[in-house]
Amino acid sequence: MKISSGAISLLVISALAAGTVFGGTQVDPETALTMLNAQNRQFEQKVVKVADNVFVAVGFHGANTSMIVGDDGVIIVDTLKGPGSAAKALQAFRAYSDKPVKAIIYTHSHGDHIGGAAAFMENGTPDIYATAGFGSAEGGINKDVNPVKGKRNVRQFGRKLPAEQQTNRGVAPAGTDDTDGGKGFVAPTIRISEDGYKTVIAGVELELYLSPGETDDALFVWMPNEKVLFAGDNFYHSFPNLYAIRGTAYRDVLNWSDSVAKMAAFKPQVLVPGHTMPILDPATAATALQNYSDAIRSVYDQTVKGINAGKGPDQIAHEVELPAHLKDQPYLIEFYGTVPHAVRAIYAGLLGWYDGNPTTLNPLEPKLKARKMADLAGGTQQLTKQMNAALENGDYQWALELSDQLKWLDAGDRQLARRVKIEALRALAAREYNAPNRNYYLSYANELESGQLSEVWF
Amino acid sequence: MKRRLMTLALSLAAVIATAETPETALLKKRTAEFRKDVIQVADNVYTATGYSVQPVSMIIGNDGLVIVDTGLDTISAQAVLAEFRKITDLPVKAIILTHGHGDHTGGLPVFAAEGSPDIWARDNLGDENHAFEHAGLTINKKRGARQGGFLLPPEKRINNGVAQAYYPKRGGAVFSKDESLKPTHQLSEKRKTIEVAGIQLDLVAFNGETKDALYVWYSGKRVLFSGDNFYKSWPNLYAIRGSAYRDVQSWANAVDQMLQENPDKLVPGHTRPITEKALVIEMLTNYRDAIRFVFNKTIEGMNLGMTPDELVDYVKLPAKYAAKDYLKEYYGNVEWAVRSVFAGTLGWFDGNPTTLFSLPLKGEAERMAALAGGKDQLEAAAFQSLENSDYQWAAQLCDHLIALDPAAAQPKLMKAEALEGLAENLLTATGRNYYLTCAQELRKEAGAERNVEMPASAGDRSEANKAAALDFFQLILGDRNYEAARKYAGEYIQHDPRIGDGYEALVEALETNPLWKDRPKSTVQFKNVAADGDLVYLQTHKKIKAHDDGSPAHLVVMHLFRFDDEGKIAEHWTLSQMAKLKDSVSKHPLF
Repeated sequence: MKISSGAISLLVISALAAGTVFGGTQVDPETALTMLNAQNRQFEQKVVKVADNVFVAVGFHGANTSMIVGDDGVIIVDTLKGPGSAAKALQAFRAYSDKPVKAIIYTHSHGDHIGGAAAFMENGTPDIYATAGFGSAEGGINKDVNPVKGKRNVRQFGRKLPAEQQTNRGVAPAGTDDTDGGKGFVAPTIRISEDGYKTVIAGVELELYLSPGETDDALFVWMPNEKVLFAGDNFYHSFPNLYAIRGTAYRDVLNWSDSVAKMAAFKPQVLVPGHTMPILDPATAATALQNYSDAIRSVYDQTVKGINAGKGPDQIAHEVELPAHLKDQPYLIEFYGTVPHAVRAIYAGLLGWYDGNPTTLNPLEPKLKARKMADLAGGTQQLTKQMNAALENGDYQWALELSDQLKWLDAGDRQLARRVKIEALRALAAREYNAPNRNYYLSYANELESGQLSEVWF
Repeated sequence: MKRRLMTLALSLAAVIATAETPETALLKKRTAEFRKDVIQVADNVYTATGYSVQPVSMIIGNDGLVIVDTGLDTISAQAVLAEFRKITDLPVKAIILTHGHGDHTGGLPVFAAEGSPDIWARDNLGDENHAFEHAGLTINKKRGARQGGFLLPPEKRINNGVAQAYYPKRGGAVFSKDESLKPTHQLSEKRKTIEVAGIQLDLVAFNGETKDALYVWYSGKRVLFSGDNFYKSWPNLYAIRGSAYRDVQSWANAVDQMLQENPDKLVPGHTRPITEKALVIEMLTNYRDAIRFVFNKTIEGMNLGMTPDELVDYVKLPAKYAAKDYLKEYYGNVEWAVRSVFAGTLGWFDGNPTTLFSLPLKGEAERMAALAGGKDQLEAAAFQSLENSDYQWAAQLCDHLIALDPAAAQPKLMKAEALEGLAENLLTATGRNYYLTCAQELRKEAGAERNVEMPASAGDRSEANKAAALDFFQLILGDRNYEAARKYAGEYIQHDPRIGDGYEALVEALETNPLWKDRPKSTVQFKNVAADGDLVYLQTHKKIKAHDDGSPAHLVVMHLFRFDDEGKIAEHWTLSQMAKLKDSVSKHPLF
C-alpha cells in the first residue's frame, strides 16, 4: 500500500507553479492541506507483511515497530513510545505468530522507539540490543535546557492543538496517546560497539551496523538472507529532519549522508523506515537510499560552498536547492525537515552562531532597534500603518517582523501588534505543508492568544 | 578676520586625531603584558614571555630539559632558545604541547633539534583543524585572519588581547596545521604521570578551548601550566572566526580541576605567569565561577523563553568578576559566549516563529526602503546615523543599501566608516581586528584605496616621499616624538602664519601654543593621500564640535609638502575646511 509516487510530486509542482509565498514549503492553503492529507496515508494504522517472516506495524503510534519471526521465537525492532500502544501492536502481530519474544533491538534512543519495550517482555526477559553509545541521542545536550526544549517540542509536534488545527507531524500522525510515554522503557542488555556485528537469534541471521545520523547512537539492522533493511530514523518518507526546530545540538549531516549511503550499498529488497510505510519494491528501495544520501550530501556541499564564498546563512538559506532529479521524489518532499533549516544547521554546527558579517557581531538590543525602526518609518503611527498594510497585502513575514518591533515601543499598540502577529502566523500556517513549521506557527499563535506568552510578549 | 583666525587655529588642531576611547587606551595599556622577559617561575622553571605570541617554558631536570609549548614560529623560538641557553646548556629531553593550535606548536622544530626529545601531546592533536578539513571549510582561514588582524597595518592593530601584534614571516595561517608536528608520545588517558630527566609531571587531558587540550602539573614545584584553558582575559568561549561548539561546562570543569591541584604558580597559555600563590588561587576560582555564572544565567534565560538577542542583555557579568583585569574582555567577549551557549545547545532557531524563515536579503532591504519612504531616505538615515556616531545602526542600514545595490561604492564606504567607529569602542581585540579588516576590505571593494594604488613612474620619489610624509606626521603630531621626526626636516619653509620657518620653530609652536601643547598622543587619521614627484598631499580628518553652536562638525585639512632631493621636507602649506553635515545638500559623506 504505497502511495503512488507521482501523486505528491504533481501537487508540489502545481503548487510551485501557483507561486510560492517565500519559504520553500509555502503553497496555497488548499494545496497545503491536500498534501498533508495525502501524507497521512504514510501512517495509516496497519500491519504490513514485508517478507515471509517480517511484519511491520505502522501507525500504532508515531514510529514503526517490527516483528521478525524465527524458529522458536520472534525479534522486535523498536518498541514505540509507551507500553499501551506497544501492546496494541503486539496484539496485531499475534495474528501472525505467537512465538515468544527472544530479542529486542533499539535502532536509536529517541523516546518514540524505546518507551514500549515492557509490553514485549511479559513472558520472559529477552536480550535487548543497542549501540554502545546508546543514550547520547541528543548529542550530550545539556539537560538544564529541558524546560525550553519541552515547550518547543509541544509546538513542533502540535501536541496542544485543538482537533481542527491538527494535520500530522510530518512523518507521524497527530494526536498520539503519549500518557504512558517512556513507562515501558527497559535498558539495553547488549551494547554493540563493533560495526557489522553478526548474530543468529531464533535461527534468524542478523547484522547490526553503526549509522550515526539523526542521532549519534543509531544502528541499522540487515537481514542478509531476506535482504530486509531496518533503517531506523535515518530514512523515512520526507526530506530528513537535519535540524529539529524544537532545538537540538548539531546533528552531523555528513555522517547522516554517509550512513544512508552505507545502507544503499546493501541494495535491500525491502526497506523499513523508522517512520512511514515500508518500501517493498527492490528497485525503489535501493534508489531511494542512494537518492536520500545524495540529497543530504548535495545540501551539505552547496552550503559549504556558500560558506567558503563568505556568505551568511540568511543568504545561503535562499540559494540552496535540491537537484531537479531529487526534489520531486516522494520520499524527499519537505514534510518533516526543510532545506533552509538544514542550511542554517550546517552553518551553526560548523562555525557557531556568528554569520561572519561584522554588522551582526553586536546587534542593537531589540528595544533600541525598535525605536530606530519607528524613527525610520516616521514615527510609531507610521510603523503601525505599515504593519497593518503588510498584513493586508499578504506580506505575512514582514507583518511578523514589524509586529515584533511594535511590541517593544512604549507608544505602540501592543494589543494590536499581538493580533497582527497571531493573524500572520495563522496565515503562514495555512500555507505551510511542512508539518513542524505549521504546528509551530499555530501553537505559538494559540499561546499568544491565550496569554501564555506574557513573559516574552508584554 | 576673527573667523579666519579661528579656522586657521582649528586647521592645525585637525591633525591631532580624536581623543582615544577608554577601550583603545585600555587595550594599548595591555601591550605591557607582552613585554619580553624571562621569568624564573621556580628555581628550575623559566618562562619566556613576549618573544613569541605565547609563553614558552623550560623545566630544568638532572640531565636535560622539558619544554612546554613552543610558540608560533621558528624565528621567535630561536630567540627563546638563545635566552634559555644563557641559563643552561642541557639537551632537550621532552617537549609537551598543551594543544594543537599553531601558535603553540610552530616553534617545535627549533627545540626538537636540541636533542632527540620525546614529544608529548594528546592523541587527537590538531582535532580542530582536522574537523575543518573534514568539513571542507576554508572560510575559517579568512575569518581567522580578520580576527587576528594579520592583514591590518601595524598602526591599526594594537594587539591581539592575549598576545602582541606579531606578523609571522610565513603569512597569516596561525591556526593552520604544521606539517613538522609529529608527537612521539600520545596521551590517550585522562591523566598520566611521566618522568623526564628526574622530573615527574602529570599530563591531564581536559577539553575546553579545544578538544585536544591538556594541562601540565609539576607537583614537585607546585607549578601548573594551563595551556589555553586559562589566560588573563575573559576566555574565548566562542571564537568569531568560527568553530564547532566549545563545551563551556567542560572548560569551567578544566579550570576547577586545575584548582584542585592547588598550585603555587601558574603559567598560562598566553599572558605572563602568576607567581603569587594567593593570586593563583583567586584567579582560577574567579575564572571558573565567572564561566559557570555566564553558562547558568544563559540557561536560566533560555528557559524563560528568551532569544539570544534578549539574553545578551540579561546575562551581565557581575562586577566582582568584571572588575578584575584578568576577566576583562581583551580576547573573548561575554555576549558572544552567551550566543554560543544558545547555539551549542539548541542550534540556530531562536524560538520566535518570525525567524523560522527570513526574507531574501534584497526583499528585506526593499521593505526597509519602503518603510523609510524610499531608498534615498534610507541612505539619508544611514548617513545621519554615521554623523551621530550611531555606528551600529548605520552599519545595519548600510547592509540594506548594499543589498539594494551591490555595485554601489557609497554604502560600502559608509559601512567601512561605521565599522571603524565600532572598532574604536570595542575592547575585545578579536572583534576590533575583525571590524577594521572588514572596513579595509569594503574600502578596497569600493575602489577607495587610492593612496595605496597611486602609480609611481620609475625613478621618481613619489612613493618614498609619501611614506615619509605619513611617518613624519604621525611622529610629530601623533606621537609628539620630535627627535624621531627630525630626520625628515629639511629647509622647512613654513606657510602657516603663526609658525616660523624651520623645524625648531615648528617644535616650539607645538610645545608652547596653548592650542597644541596639552594635546594627548594619538593616531592621526589620514584620508586621501597622494604624491606626485616632490609634492605630497595629505588629507586629515577629525570630528569636532562646531565652535559656534557645539553641534557635530568635521574638520578636514589638506597639507601640501614639498620634499627636497634628499627626501626631506622643504616647504609646507595648509588648507582647511570645517563642515557641519546635518544641513548638507550633498548626499555624499566627506570621504
